[in-house]
Amino acid sequence: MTGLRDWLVPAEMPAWRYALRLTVVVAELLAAYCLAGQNSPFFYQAF
Amino acid sequence: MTGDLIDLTKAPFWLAFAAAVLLVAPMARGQSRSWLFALVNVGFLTVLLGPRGAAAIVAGATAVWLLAGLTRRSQHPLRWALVAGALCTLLFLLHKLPAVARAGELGRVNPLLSVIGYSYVFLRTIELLRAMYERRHEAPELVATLNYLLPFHMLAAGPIQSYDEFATQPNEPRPLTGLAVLEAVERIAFGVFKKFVVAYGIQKLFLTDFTAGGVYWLFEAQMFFIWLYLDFSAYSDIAVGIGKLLGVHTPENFNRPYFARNIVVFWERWHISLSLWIRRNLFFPIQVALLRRTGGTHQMLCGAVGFAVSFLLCGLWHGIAWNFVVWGVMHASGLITVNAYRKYLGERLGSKGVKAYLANPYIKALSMFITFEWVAMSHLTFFYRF
Repeated sequence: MTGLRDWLVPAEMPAWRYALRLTVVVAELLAAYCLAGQNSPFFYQAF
Repeated sequence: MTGDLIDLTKAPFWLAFAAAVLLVAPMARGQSRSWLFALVNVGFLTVLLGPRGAAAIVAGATAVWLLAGLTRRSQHPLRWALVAGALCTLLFLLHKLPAVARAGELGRVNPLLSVIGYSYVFLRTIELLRAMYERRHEAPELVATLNYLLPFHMLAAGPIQSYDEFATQPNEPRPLTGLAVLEAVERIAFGVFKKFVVAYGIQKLFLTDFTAGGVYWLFEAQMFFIWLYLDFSAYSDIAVGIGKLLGVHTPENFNRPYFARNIVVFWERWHISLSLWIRRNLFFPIQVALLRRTGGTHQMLCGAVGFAVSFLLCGLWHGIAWNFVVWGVMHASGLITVNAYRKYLGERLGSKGVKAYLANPYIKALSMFITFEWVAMSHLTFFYRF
């Protein structure tokens, strides 16, 4: 499980930048979650 | 057996994702990775189809594995490759012609094939059989065959991984760094956002399934093309992101297709994994066979026949109906025209002239516009039956 800490606190970037990118991810997922129930399957699944 | 399509708004897909991340990504190495990934894939099918449905699919994949092994090891590889190819093609026809399947009392097969996205599994199966027939790789183990044919994150709508790529990917992927995890999660979140928010918004605001009257169809064709890209590339983003997290190579499927300046370039940027499959398994073999037969003369004609046959079959892969034949004819004629025009330009302008022609921003913009419109119009065939 040594990787878990690296995953949560990556050394490659400043903490604020990491937090910002994570915030965008969370916002995208939240928005998608709110509308997910009204969506249809992917178009190319029809093939 | 539920018979539902894989639905990313329901729990099973994300449970399989969570199980894969916990089991496959961080800890397992080597052979155990392959076993654990197969466990996730079969578990996903079991949740989706029930134990009997999943058993039927695994039995089918096992049959492919046996026939692939026989093709690789037998003194008569062509015989076994043809048997396997014929069986898979028969299933493909049943998948595409549900009325025929029902008439032949095989209607129960169709929901299973639909759920696993058999059109994509079929193309992967052909890749595997061809690799075995040409003895490019050793016969795979059963677990590897399951992972190649039925990866849970590539079932719904591809991408279609080449067997060469699958067979040569490292058994132990590079360790995941924090940045790599973040990038993978960003890719998944972006795909989910693109599908459920942006594409949904466009669909709600502008698309009517071409039922609106007047000239709205012309505007809708533009919006449909934009929507289709968002919808389709969103799934690819999710699949590629999951693949990155798991260390399972998942090919890219799109690369800014709207910026393609002709339809040849468009197919290098749109549904790339299908385009490469066509190139490897249809276009090049046909073109090479024709060039050999004609002694290398008539290169343009050989290429044109290659494009025509490849894209007619590609159209029929979408569905066995005249509208998809028209789709294939439109794309093939576009590709043939571009090749002929390239030759004409080369002869007329010379290499320096062609360079200047290609650098002209107005010509570039016009070319991109024509390409966009040609492809947008070809999508009308999805809606108008002939």
